[in-house]
Amino acid sequence: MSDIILGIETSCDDTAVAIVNAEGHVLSSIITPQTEIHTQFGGVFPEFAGRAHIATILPTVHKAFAAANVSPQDIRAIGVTRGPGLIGSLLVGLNTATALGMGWNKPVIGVNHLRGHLRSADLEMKRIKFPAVILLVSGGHTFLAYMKDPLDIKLLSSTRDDSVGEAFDKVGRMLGLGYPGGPLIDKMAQEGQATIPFPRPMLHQGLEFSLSGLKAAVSRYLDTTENPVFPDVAASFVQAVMDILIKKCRMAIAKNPCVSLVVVGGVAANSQLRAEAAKLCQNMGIELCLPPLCWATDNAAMIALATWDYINTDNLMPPIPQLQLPISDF
Amino acid sequence: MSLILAISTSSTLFEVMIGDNSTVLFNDAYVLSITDKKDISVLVAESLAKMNLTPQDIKSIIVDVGPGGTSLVRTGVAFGNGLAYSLGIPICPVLSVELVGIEVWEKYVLPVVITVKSVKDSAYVALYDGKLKTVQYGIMTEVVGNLIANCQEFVVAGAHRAQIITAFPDKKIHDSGVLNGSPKYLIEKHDSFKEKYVTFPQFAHPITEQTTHIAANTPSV
Repeated sequence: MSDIILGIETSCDDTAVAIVNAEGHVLSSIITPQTEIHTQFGGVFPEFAGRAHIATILPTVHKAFAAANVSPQDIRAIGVTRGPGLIGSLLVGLNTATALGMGWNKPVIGVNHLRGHLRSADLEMKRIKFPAVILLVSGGHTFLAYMKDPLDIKLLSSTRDDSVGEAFDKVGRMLGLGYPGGPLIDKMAQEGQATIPFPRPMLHQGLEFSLSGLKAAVSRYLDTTENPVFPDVAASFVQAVMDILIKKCRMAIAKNPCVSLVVVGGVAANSQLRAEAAKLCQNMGIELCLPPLCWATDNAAMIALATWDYINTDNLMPPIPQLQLPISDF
Repeated sequence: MSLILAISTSSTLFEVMIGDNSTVLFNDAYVLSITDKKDISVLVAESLAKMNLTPQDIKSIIVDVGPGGTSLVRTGVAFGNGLAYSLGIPICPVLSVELVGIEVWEKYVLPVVITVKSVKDSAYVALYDGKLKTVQYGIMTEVVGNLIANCQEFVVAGAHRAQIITAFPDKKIHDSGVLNGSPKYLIEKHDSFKEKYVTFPQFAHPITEQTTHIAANTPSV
């Protein structure tokens, strides 16, 4: 029986298609980004995201097969993100996937996008050592989870308001950096000094996150300060976020027996987070598992790899959209 | 047999039809509800099964590309495109307002103004007179006013029928009573859509406010 999966990911603003085998070897991964479309809005405009997906999904599928040098008959199944995500974007991926499955006579499995992110750390080689504490930080999600094994996942905490990626985008807009804010703030922060004492909301209050207060503090500072030094603002904001993330990770590791910390999601590409997480793990005597930068942001290879978990456990979830989907669910 | 699969999802009534040449052989529909786990793929699969057909028996697809509910339209178009691509068959995009125009014009043989709601006061406005003359997007009353400037008698269909009759008291306006078009015309009139068929790398695109103009030099009757 074939051991390759076609993965399709359209939960937000990237149309991504990949072909991956059971060991996590990526035969092809094609991402058609929509950055140009959303830059003018300073964030993802959901209606335009859906429109762009429908224009790009078939060419992206076609390129993925060509790059992998395989035919549709070679695949075992199609794994497609069913949620969480933007409904207009999810519907394009799900309906395209079900149609492809019908035409090629292949099963189509609805995959939890968050489980995809967790599996991203195992693409191309197995990196995660179990049990593990997971920090998922992206534009849509910020949470800590405990992963006893690849299938047993428990949510430890999440954000009460903004996700880290959302806060980066909004502060990026305040600093006139454009979209997406994450990489641009990261770059600007490296040119500044973290001298501004922005608050660290809920730093000592359990594992939950709250970032809206920090974002508001940056806005107030910019409104009330004459000639603010933007690189210093960026560096101080990033430092505040890092202090929160690292502190919460330390608490989660202390409370939950684990041998590794896994940092995934788009913000896992942040250089300062990677460096500070490495320092934390060294201090606590555990391993740090990071996906390579290319798998940190949304991609379909992680969805294809996660699909194997669904097949192996016979959790063949239907490709029906679910806007809210906890990490603990298949 | 050269079987055609017709898909319409521009309103909450999802419809699937299977036809041969210009004859509807089978049709099925359901009203979409938020608690319904059914989707267009299930409807298509059930329709094929009831006719004892496989997807490979379908030789072409014809799909309603709106205007209508934006996510709903995309659902049908994404499915139609994906199925056409996977089966290696052509797909034909047809505007929902053209289906309304065909139905109403056959009865009245008069120009038909068709409107579809959009955000705030804006609407998609189409003019059908034996064939689809134009589709425009903008403030509904303004666009309709321009289109019927030289027309004393016409028929209204779609979402703003009463509003148009009230807004233009000096015109002789017939209310068709038709809100949405019947997808049966996707099959019955498929010969008239023949030149719209495309195969990958081309495929169907839902209409948007930026892609409305199909007849640039026909702004009025």
